[in-house]
Amino acid sequence: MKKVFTLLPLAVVCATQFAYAATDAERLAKLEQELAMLQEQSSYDSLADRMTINGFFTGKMVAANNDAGFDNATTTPNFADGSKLGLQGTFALTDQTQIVAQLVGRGSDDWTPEMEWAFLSHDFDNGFVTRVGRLRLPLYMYSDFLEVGYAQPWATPPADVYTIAPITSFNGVDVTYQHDLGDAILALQASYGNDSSSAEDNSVGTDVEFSDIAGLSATLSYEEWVFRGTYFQTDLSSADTGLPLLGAFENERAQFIGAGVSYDNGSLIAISEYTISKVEGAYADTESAYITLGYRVEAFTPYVSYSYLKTTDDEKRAASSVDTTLLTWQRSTYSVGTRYDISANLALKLDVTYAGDFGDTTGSLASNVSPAYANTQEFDDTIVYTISFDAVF
Amino acid sequence: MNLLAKVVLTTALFSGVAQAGVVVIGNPNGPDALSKSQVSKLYLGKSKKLPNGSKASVLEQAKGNAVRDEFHGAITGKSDAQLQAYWSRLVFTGKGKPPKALGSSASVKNSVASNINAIGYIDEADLDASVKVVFKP
Repeated sequence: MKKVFTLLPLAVVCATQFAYAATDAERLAKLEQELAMLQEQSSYDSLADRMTINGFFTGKMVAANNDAGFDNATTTPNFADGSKLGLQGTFALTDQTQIVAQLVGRGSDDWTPEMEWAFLSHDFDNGFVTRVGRLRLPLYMYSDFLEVGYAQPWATPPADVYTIAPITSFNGVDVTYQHDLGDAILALQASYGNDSSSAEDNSVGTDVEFSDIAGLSATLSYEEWVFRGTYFQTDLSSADTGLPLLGAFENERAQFIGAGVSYDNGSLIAISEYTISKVEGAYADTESAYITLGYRVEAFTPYVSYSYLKTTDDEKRAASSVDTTLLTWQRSTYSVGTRYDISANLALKLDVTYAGDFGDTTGSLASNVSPAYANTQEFDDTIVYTISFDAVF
Repeated sequence: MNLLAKVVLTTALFSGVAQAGVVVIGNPNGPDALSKSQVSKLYLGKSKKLPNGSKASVLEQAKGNAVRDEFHGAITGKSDAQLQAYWSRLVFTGKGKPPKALGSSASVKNSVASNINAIGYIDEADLDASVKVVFKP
């Protein structure tokens, strides 16, 4: 009955057009087609459908039992680092082509908005999607939504793995090919571009140029499993770093290899990633990994995490105590925490992280260099407490 | 049969109808049947096409709707919070957006009835001849 009423006005308007239609069935079919076209048109033309605004917010507090500086936490509660607001606009130019721009304001940056992404993407409708503009560097399993706390189980992604690379975005192009293998889906992503990292944002303390960033990542999703492998390389150039053995970078090749696996059956979550990074010369080569296990119980997802980070080319820095102190690292990290879904778009996370096993190193914490500047650290370990509110809207 | 028995029986019958369960529906001229995995992939944006190759128009019910919870419980296994986290991963990379949500079973049914490539889900009790069942969990 309802359908008749919906169609009635249309039928009246279009009646003359259908005067020659042979049967009621034919008329109805034509009307239905007409209606479908109208609906399609109206949905396509409405601005609301072509333009989408999404956002995310993280309000975070970190505090530690000492001033070692893990996650920028000190004994004074820090509300700025890790807090951020992101706004993303997606504008569909056509059914296949869209422009995406994401602005992120960070507490650590006095909330000054920065363009994190800005790209045009085109879906060729044959499995290939290409994007050009400012893109995320897809080194890790969670790289694409590194900023979106709500999309992650942890209060903070495991620092031993996620802080290895000094850049998270680049200017360039990528092509993703997605292939349906029946029960499994394979996605291959190739990226190319360049970027720069300013002195205050990296561990070397000098501006670094990343040219010819090129990489490939492969993701296989099979039922509850996701397997991922990635390889990236780039050439580093930088003015004098001030470190005796490191000197200046002149097109030094850096390589990154990552492997990850995750399992999520709705209750049990297991995520693990392993990474190797290598840089020509005396700059730190690293190996790091983490494993996280979580279990959903109603709105709670308690988790435990273990990770480590170590440098693998310490002998290259043995000749300089300064280089050794700043670029030879060793650390093991243990976390226990929980996510609590307050509502379908707001989560509260609590986390306690212990980092230790620094050996004779700073534990890769720039603020943990002892005042004596010898081959020793100021703190042997640290405990960091995190409370985080993560929302998406 | 005494009155009480009749009442009990009628109530049981009605509640039986009301809880008939969720069914995935398609246009009468659309695909004949989909597998659970096909439905799940469409609703999670993992595939965008129907078996015949045309682009699917996937319809959700509004958040908080009982039939939505039942559908996702049976098909994707994800709660609303998990779905939100899942889609935020795709939304914030520009890689996809969640299916369009419609306010009622009636509008889902109407949309599916008028679009050959649409699929939706409704309570079995709301079925009529304007659409057909393509999957029943």
